[in-house]
Amino acid sequence: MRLQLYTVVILALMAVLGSSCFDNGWGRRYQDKKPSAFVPIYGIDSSLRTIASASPQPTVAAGKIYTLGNRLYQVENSKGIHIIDYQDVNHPVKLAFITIPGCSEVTVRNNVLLTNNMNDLVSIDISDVSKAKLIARVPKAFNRYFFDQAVVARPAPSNVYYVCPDPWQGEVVGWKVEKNVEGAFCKTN
Amino acid sequence: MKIILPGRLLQLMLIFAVIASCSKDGNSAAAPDTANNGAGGSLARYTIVGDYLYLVDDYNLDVYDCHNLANPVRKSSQQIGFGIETIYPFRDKLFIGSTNGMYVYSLEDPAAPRLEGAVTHVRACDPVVANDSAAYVTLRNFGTTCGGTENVLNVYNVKDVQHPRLVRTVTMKSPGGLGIHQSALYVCEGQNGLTVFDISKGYEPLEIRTLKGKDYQDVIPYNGLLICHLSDGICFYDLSDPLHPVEFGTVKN
Repeated sequence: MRLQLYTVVILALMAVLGSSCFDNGWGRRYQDKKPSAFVPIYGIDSSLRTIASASPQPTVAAGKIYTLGNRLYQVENSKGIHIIDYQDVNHPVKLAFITIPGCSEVTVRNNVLLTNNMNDLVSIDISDVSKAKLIARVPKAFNRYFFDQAVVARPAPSNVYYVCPDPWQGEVVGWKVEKNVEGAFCKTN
Repeated sequence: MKIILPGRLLQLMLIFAVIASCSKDGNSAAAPDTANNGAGGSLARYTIVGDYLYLVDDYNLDVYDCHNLANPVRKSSQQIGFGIETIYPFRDKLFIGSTNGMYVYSLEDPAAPRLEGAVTHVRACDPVVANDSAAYVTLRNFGTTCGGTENVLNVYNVKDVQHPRLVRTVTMKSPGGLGIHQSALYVCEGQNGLTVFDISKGYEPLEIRTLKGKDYQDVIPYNGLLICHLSDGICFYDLSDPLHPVEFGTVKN
């Protein structure tokens, strides 16, 4: 019984000390309200979950590569994957482009692309490169995606404060302006 | 623009949260079948060994059983650290690069990789490649957000994989992606070129030459070819003589 009382006292002390810490430290930061700021809207944009074959595309932001047989697969950062045949290594030919929004990774097995569509792991059958077919999707298998996005996603207007996107909350599908916003530490250029 | 990421806070907290992995040694001791597989670059976060897909995000190593590609099944997920960036398979091991070190995992049980050894280094970006006796890691601070302070190629003795040991540090300009073919080591240095080392004396890489004129990001040595990921496309080199890559075609726009 005495031990329990002791525990209660310790816990109470910790609570008091803890709350005072917050008041003096992080608490005050979060009390720093902006009269008006942009706030991210989190959600799932289904239009960014559509995967399809397209004709060969120019390479602009060349990403990671994977090879199997005489084929080379190169990510076009955040857009999709170029499929290149290099049987004649002096004259490699782009065969097709697979549109995969938010793509950054690429691996291939048995004519199936294993890659990321935003933060989902996807299997894409490319037996016929002109008719890529999504055959499996594992949602939220690659949350790494949002760490990149958190740095990039920002509202369009310049010189405005916004709440920095939280990668753990997922996808930023838009922005709204709110009043008396806490935690709007980020600012556009 | 000022950014204070909530995620950054979590990262700091996670440094202190050491999660012990408790993967059991399985009975399956089958060597990974890499013959049927292709190859990725050293900057990859996804890799396939045998029937399994391994992927790393910032903190975790996840394993998917891909016997049935129409139904990848997650077999395990373990927290391995923070700032994880790259994964590289060699024989029955995975070499994982993070912003503060290198981890070696055994694939004795391919569904549940087991940590065998690790080394820490200064904070920097660090892809890793390896052969039987050595692991080569590049650290750079050039043009990245990794907070690095050095531009070096580190050579680790991994014969005792439980205790990788730093045996050599080579100062470079801006080392990034890298690859091994026979006695040659290729290190991409962006616009500073592609540097070729002779590693026949494993722990004493000897700089042979630097190819210039392109923005080299990463390489895959594959079937006698060196396939280069450039910032604006790809290019191919013939590796008949591994220390003297000869250029083939280029694919840009």
